[in-house]
Amino acid sequence: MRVLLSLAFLKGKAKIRNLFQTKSSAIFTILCALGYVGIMVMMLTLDKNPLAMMNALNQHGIVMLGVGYTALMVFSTMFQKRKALLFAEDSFYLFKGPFTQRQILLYASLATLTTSFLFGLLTVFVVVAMSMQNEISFGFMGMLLLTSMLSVMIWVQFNDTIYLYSLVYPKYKPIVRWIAIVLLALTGILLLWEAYVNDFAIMAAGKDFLMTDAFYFFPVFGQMKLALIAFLNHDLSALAIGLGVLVLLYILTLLLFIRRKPDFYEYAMLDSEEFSQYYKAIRSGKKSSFDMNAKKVKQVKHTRFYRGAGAVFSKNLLMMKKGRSLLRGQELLIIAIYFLMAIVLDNSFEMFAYMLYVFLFILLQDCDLLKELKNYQIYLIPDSAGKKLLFAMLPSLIKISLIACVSILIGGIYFGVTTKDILLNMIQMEGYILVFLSASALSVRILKSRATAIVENMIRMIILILCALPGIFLTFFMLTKWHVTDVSAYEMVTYGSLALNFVLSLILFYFSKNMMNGCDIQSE
Amino acid sequence: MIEVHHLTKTYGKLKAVDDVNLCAKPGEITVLLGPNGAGKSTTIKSIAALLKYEGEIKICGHDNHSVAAKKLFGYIPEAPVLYDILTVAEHVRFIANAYRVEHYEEKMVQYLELFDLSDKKDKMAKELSKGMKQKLSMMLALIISPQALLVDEPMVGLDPASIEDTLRLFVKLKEQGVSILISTHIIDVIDEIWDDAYIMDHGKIVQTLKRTELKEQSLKEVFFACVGEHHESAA
Repeated sequence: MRVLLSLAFLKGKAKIRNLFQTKSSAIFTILCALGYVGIMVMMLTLDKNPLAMMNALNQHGIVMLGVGYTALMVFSTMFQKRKALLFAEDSFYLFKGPFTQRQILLYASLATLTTSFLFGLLTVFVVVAMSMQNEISFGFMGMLLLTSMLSVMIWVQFNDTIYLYSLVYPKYKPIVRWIAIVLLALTGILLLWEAYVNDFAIMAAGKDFLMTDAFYFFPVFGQMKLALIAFLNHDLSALAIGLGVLVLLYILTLLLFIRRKPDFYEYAMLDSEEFSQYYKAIRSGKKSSFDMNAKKVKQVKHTRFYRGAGAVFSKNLLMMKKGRSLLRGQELLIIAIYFLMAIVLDNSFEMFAYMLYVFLFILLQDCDLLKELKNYQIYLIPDSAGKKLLFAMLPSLIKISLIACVSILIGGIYFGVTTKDILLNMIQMEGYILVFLSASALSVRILKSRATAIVENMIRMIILILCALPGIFLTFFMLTKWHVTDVSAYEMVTYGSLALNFVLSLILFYFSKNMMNGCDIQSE
Repeated sequence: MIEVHHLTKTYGKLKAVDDVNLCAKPGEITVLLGPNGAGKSTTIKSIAALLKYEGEIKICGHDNHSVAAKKLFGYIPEAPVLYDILTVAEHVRFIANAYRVEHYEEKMVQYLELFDLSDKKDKMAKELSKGMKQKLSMMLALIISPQALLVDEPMVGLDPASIEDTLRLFVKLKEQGVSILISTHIIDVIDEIWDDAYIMDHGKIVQTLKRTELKEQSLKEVFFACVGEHHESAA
C-alpha cells in the first residue's frame, strides 16, 4: 500500500509541477488561488447580518442551498453515462502490478477524497457567493465543507460499489439510477405535499419545504442539513446525530467499497480507457463536457450540404442533430435549477436574468465553436477566412440565442414582466452573446496551444470578461450617471449596449478572421 | 508543384526547421526523410499553412495561404482527425461540398472500393478501426483531386495489403501529374516509389538526391551516412 500511497503523492506533486511548468501557467495558477481567496474574503467582509442571528427561514434557505448544490453534484455523478474506477494509466499499472484488489480499491477511494474536497470547496464558494445579505462564519464554512465532503464520498463510494458489481453482473447497473430517481421523486412528493397543504400557494409551499423536519429523514442529505442547522443553533445533540450518521455511513460505504468483489479487471480496464480518452478530449477542448453523457447517436437522413464555407455550417448542424446537442436535457435542467434558485434567493426576474448570463458564459466555454476551431480541416477549406469563421460561429450563435430567448420568455412570463421588457432583455442578451462568441474566436487566436488546459480556460474567461466590459460599463454609466429610471430611457440603455456590443463583436470578428487561413492556430 | 524557399520555424529559442529549401515537382514522388524530431512534420504543417513560419511557400505557383492554393492541395496528417459521429459518407460529402467538387459521388464509390470501405460507408468514424480511419483520412484528401499532395507518415496503422494499395495509388497519382511530398522515417516503405529525396536532421536539409543519381549505394545507406548509425532503429 505504501507504493500506492507514494504513487498518489507523486501524481499530486506532478500535477502541481505541471501547473507551474511555464511562467504564464504559474502566474495564472497563483492568480486563480488568490482570486478564490480574495473573492471569499471580499464576500465575507461585506457588511452583512450574521447567519446565526438571522431568522429560521433564511438559515434554512442558506443551508438548503449548500445541501442542494452538493446533491446536484452527486446526482450529476450518479446519472453520468461514462464511468470508470481509475484513469487508463492507473488501471494499466495497478491491475497488472503486484497489488491486491483491496489495495487498488483503497487507492481508488483516495481519488474520491480529492474529488469530494474539490466539490466541497465549490459548494462553500456557491453558498458564500449566493448569501448576499447573510454573514457566513468560518466555522460554518468548515462544517459545510466537512458535511458536503462526507455526503459526496458516501454517494460516490456507494455508486462505485454498484458500478463494480454491475461490471460483472450487468443486472445491477440500473440500481444507482433508480435510487437517484426515487430520491428525486421523494423530493417532488414532499414539494407537492407542501403545495397541497398551502392551497397551492407556491411561495408558502416553498418556504415550508425549506423548513420541514421531514427532510431530515432523507438519506445523507437530510443528515447533512440536520448537522448544519444544529451547528448554527448550537444544538450539540442534533449536531452529533447528524454528523455521527454521516460518519457512520461513510465508514459503511467504504467497507462495502473495499470488500472483495468478483473479478472486474477486464471490464474496468475497458471503461478506464474509454473514459480517459473522453476526459482528455474534453480537457483539450475537442469535446464538450456534455459529451460525457452523450446519448446514442440519432440517425439523420438527407442532409443538404451547402457549398464552400457553408459546408461547415451544414456539417455542424448535422452533428448537432445526430448528437442531439441542439438542446440537451442537462442544459434544460441547469436552466430549471437556476430558475428555482432565482425564486428561492430573490424571487425576481433580474436575478434569473443575471444567472442566465452566467450560464450562457459557461455554455460558451463548452460550445461547438471551440471544438471546430481545434480541427485542422476548417483551415484548409478553400474559401474566404471571414466566411469560414462566420459559418463556424453560426450554429453556436443559433443554439445559444435560442436557449437565451426561450429562457427569458418563460422567466418573463412567470415573473410577470411586460412583453416590451422581455424583448429588451432578449436584445440586450443577444448583444452579449455576439461579444462572447467573437471573443471566443479571438481567444483561440491569441491563445493558440498552451501548456495546460486549465490555464487556457482561465485566459479565455478573462478575455471574454474583458470583451464584455465595455457594454457593462456603458450600461452602468448610463444607469448611474444619467440617473435613468423611466422605461424609454431604459430602452436607450438596452439599444446603446446592443449597438456597442455589436460594433465590438464586429471588431473582434475582424481581428479573428485571418486565423482561418490557418497559420495562427498553433503555438509559437 | 510545391516550392519551399528559406523556410524557418522556431519554437521559442529552438529552431525546429532551419532555412529549408525544397521542391516537389509535378509527376514525381518527393520524400522527406529524417529521424524523429528532424523537423519533417513541422515542414509539412508549414506547407499546409497550419503553422506560422518565416520564408516563402508556393503551391502550384500560389501562396500557400491563398484560397487558390488551398483548392489544389490535399493533406493527409499523421494522425487522422475525424468527426466521431459522422459516417464515412458524410465525411466525404462534407469535404466534397466544402471544396465544391462536382459529381463527387462517382469518385466516392471508386475510392470506397479502392480502400475496401464500401461496406463501411454508413459507419461512424468512431466505429472504424485505426487503419480504416487512416484510409478515410486519405480518401478525404484525395476526393478533391489535388494537384499537390502532402502526406505525413502515411503508413501508420495500415495493414500490409493496404500499404501496397496506397503505394500503387501514389504511383498512379504521380502518373497523372500530381506533385507528391511524403514525409516518413520508414525508408523501406517508400524505397520502391520515390523520385527525389530530401534528408533532414536537426531541422536542416543535410542531403538532396535523385533516384537517377544513386549508383551503388541504396537510399538507406545514404540516409545513415548523413544522420549517423545511431538512428538505424528509426529506419
